[in-house]
Amino acid sequence: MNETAHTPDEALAEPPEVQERNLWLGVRVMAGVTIMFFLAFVFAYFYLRSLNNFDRWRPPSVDPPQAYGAAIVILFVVSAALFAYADRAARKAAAWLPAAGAALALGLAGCVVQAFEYAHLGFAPTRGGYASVFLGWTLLFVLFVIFAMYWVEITFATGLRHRHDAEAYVPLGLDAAAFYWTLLAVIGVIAWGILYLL
Amino acid sequence: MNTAAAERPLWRRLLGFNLLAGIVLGVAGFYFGWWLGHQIHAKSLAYFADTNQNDVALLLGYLFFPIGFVIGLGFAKYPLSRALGREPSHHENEEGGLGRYFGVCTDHKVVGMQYMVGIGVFFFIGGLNAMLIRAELLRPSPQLFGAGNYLTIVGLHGAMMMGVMSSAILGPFANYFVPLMIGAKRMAFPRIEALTFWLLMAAGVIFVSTIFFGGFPTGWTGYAPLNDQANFGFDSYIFFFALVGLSMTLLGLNLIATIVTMRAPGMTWGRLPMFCWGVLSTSGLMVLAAPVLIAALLMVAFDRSLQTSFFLTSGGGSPYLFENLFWFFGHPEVYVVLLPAMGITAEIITVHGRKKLFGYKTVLYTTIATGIISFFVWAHHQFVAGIDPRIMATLWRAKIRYTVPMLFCLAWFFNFFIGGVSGFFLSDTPSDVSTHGSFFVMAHFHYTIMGGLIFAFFAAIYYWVPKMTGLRFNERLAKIHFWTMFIAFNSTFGPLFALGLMGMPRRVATYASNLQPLNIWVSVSAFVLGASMLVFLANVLYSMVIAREPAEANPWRSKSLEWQLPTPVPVHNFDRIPVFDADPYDYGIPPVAPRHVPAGASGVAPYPDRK
Repeated sequence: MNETAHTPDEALAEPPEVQERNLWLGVRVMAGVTIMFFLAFVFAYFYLRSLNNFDRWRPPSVDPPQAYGAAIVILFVVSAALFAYADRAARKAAAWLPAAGAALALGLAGCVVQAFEYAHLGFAPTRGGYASVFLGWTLLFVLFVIFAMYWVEITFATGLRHRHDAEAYVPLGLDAAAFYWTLLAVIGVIAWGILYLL
Repeated sequence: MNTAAAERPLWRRLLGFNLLAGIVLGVAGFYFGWWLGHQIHAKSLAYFADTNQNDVALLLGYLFFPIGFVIGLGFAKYPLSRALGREPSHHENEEGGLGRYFGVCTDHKVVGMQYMVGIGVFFFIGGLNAMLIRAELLRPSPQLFGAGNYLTIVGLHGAMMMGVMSSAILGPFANYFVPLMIGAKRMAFPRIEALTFWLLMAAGVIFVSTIFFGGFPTGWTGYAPLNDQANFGFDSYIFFFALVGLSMTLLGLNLIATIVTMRAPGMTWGRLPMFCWGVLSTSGLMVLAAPVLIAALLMVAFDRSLQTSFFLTSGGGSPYLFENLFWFFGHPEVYVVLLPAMGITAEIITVHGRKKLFGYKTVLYTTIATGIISFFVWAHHQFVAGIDPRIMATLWRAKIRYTVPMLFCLAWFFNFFIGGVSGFFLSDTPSDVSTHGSFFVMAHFHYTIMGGLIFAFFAAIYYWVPKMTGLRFNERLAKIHFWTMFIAFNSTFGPLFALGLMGMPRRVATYASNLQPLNIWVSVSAFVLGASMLVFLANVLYSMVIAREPAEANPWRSKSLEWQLPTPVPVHNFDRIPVFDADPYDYGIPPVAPRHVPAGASGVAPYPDRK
């Protein structure tokens, strides 16, 4: 093949579904990565809890504020549900941008509430194993959520640019983003159950 | 180089997103993090208040260094444009001459070459540390560096080799050849592919910087509670391995997506070359094991900066938690380096034996099973796979050509056999009690890792670099390299079994004086082993810079697709996606003649001389 014998467009032409397939698979592998990452914290939680070295697993008064925890998980779950709805709506050529925008706003709001929770936590990270797991898990989970919110924002911004298109426009990777944000929301629910309820 | 770029003056070309900007912004990022850490640190977080240093500052410095580095290289442009709603693209800076190698480039072949050079540099540093270790062990008591520095050198050697060299085969060879082998024009996620390389380079630089912060005493495993007690130098270990883990994860994700979704028509699973199977299995291990390592290292970082107590018994944590998490990564890590090496040997042996791979499906199932089983033995290092004799059976009554890549493959079998058999003794509890922590373990894993990885790495270099560069190696120098390396390798690590059984412990610069003669033997052998690498470097310089003899397009008469392409391979690989109609190991009568596909040919038939 001669590099100069064709225009770049011809050389780079590939079936449009190729990147959709890549994203479909890539996001599922990414889901595996994410699950393994947080399984380390699940393992840490139950391992340290079972050892309870020096009775320092969870000293008295180490209790996270329940209201903040519930608010965070509700915001994340509602956001993920709205974004999943947006994904379905886009595929049916229905209006999806308002739902995606609301999902973005609620997801970011959940991160802000998490910051508020840290400010009113009532215990320091030095207060035993539970405090360590709580802080590490929630802090890193929020970082993953921020990454997911970036992805949501991309689809939202791309959709905004095409909002006046004659044909219904579905951004590349919308379903992948919805899948990943739903997965994170499920992990968030599990984290809430383990860290706040157990 | 494109015309517009060439016309610009040098100072204009130096400005913009490239390696220079990456270094400048990386250093700026480090100092920003350092400054930020000192702004927010509490007194309780400072280990030495009078030196105005604390782990928060150093950790933040190490966090912002790679961020600034990749921004300077140009990795932030695309995410920002996507955030503004612009359309996605998969090609960037692919036809920019030499400049492609110093910034973001989405051509998988450029990334493969970047990996080759970058990993070579860190392999040299790791090897140099090995020479320093053996120099110290020439005498029974510390003479050159002292006990503390000796431990740092041991840690630098071990972690550098285990970290950076994990990508020694996947980085250069999988990135370069997997798309060619499966008939794809690109990787699934080209920017992520480029990012994995630069993250690895940032990791290496961070790791070497440990010498400015006092080194670290933990060896490559970084066990608790030493990791909490260690000085600032350990912070570099944390970020080094975390970035290596991130790079491995993204590399694995990309390779899985590429192999699964981008195979050309006709490239069925049953026709997938064994190298691709090895890469796919390893990638599966990487994406599942590396995240656990990253999580464990972040826990260590939290312990050292936020004063959590994941691994502190007195604070409600447990050092065993770290060991469990570490080995959940650490054991599959052995197979991360092994499985692609097995794939390489399968490729080279079939090509050089001119025979169909014996028991393709069995080798394949063994590869996959090895990967899966490796996850279940993290708590104890067991001999789960060892050598697969079926690949050897391919050589039965084969017309073997003893080229340099083939010699390295045969040496790989020999070394890995010894490594595997010695693993039995370590998986047996009574013998493990006496050999654990001794030089016996050292000998075992060097036979396994160096014998299993580095020999395959060099086999791959001699096999594939002529295709990557279009230049051939000097055969005589290559054979000198092989024989000195093979003999010196066995002369170095064979006696370590004896030293271990005689009670010589790892990671200690002092040993009983009756062990000195054997240690001198080992050290001298190690220096010869080091010298063999200089022979290799001399060959690279001579062959690639001085002689520059052009290589044939298909010097090994291989039937695999990458060898049917012109040398060097065009930017976008194929004009049209090829269609496969045969498997890649269909060797036999009549023999395959060398075939050169001229530049400009399109729609390359993958195995043109079949039928």
